[in-house]
Amino acid sequence: MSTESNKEFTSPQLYLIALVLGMIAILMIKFSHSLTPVAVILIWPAFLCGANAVRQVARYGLGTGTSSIGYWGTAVGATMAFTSQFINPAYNFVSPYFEIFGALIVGAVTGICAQKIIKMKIPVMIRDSAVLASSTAIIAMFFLAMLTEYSAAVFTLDAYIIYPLIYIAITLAILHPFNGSMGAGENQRRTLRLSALEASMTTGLFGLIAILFSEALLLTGVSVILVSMAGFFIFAKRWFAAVKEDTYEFAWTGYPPAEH
Amino acid sequence: MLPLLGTILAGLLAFLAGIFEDSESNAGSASNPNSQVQLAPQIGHRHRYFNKAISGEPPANALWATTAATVAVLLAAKFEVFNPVYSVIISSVIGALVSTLLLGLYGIFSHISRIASMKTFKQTLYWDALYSALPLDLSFGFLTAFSLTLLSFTAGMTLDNPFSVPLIAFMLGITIGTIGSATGDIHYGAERLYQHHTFGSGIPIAKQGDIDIKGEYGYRNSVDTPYFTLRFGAIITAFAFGLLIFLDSLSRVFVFSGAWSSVIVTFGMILIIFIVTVLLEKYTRDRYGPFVR
Repeated sequence: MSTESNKEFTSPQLYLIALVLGMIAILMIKFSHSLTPVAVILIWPAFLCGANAVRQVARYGLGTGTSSIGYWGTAVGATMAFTSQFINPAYNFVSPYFEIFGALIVGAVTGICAQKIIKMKIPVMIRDSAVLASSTAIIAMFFLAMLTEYSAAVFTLDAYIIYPLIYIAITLAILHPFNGSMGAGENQRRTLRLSALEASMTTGLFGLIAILFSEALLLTGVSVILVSMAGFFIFAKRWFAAVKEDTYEFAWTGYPPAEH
Repeated sequence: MLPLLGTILAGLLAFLAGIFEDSESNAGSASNPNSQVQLAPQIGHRHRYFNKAISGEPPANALWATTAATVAVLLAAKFEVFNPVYSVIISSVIGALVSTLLLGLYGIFSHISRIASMKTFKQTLYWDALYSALPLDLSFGFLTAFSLTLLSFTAGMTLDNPFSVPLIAFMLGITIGTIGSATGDIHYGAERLYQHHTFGSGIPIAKQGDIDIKGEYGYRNSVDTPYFTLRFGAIITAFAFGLLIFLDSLSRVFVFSGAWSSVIVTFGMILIIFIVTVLLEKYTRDRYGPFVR
């Protein structure tokens, strides 16, 4: 166990990877919308970073509070991303930097409130609250960029229709990997592999939304679904390999051994 | 006439959604009972329950409802040349199917990964415990998402709700999850999982995880549970959610004081419910007294 924990990724390491690749992904779409299928691969690390932040905080014994910390942090990040819709087009150059770093600051402030006012006594609360909010903002900005802001044409419906789905889909994809793996034998490797699996599942969902959202996004949607499906099968294999190593025993059917 | 019809339809759909939601959560032992299923192997009770630890019920149901409603709204816009009622129903079915697919994947991942984390306590992963409960869970999940999507369309189209349909679905998902967790679980955790403890004695910390793992015959599984909870827990959840939506919708029918009418009517309803609840509790305590061991 100790050797495994020594190999773990730290929050700052994952955040650096998520930030750099996430920024590149968003700027790629801003540069050319046809690059979306490649950019979608670069956004997956942001899901891993967010899931790891939930894990870091929830490991201090939050239990059923894992969900709460998940949607608290993602609410900050998604809300900051949604503010981009109010930025005057003349100042569009500040996006996505303003939203992502804004989420980092507001996330840290909520972490400070949790530590100082609610007195949660979690040493990593401020750091990981900021990381969680910022990685959510990266993902939300990516989906907004993919579906609306920088797209070729969006004629059919207003963007705000997809805001609730962007928020709640990212929330579940980020809080679920740790919540779904909770237990004495939980480890970062399996949790992050599950996170990658759910990241590809979520981007696949938004590929479908893109197809339905606008005829101009048909090719983008189809290509995102194909890339996401490829990722899904690769990550499913990797995750299940970890499950096989960690599980006590598999059985098609049967009864547990007698207790008494 | 349309708001009144919308009110009746909204109440009916909410009642049905309440039954389906509570049954779905119990088929997957979600929310509070999930904590008990999760703790069981740690105190030596190796079980055959479906450990569907997606998240708390409110955010999970918000995702199912929002996914279904978003897909349905986008599809309905494409089907607008057809009869609007048919297009809404067909779009809602397709939307609910997409959200059911998500529910299935999240449910499978949770169960497998949580059982893998129980290696220390020698918990076996029984595939049939997952695959026998999953179709039932998905069926109830589909019906919940479908009902909530139709309810969101009803609120938007007939009751003049100012929000977009996906946002209404999001709020309804959070609300039904909260009610299912707060109301439905009481008639699952305390009565179904703890039948070997004295009825009405509550669940002290020392008994957490000490759940029933054997059923009427063989080992208990997650298919047995909704069979039991449909009789009371699901109905209570449906009554709470259905009444909430019905009264809220009914308050919008009144127009005696402009936009403030519904606020005044809702305030009056809350006052009446509060008085009745206090009187009922006083009567129950006076009549039956405290729990005696």
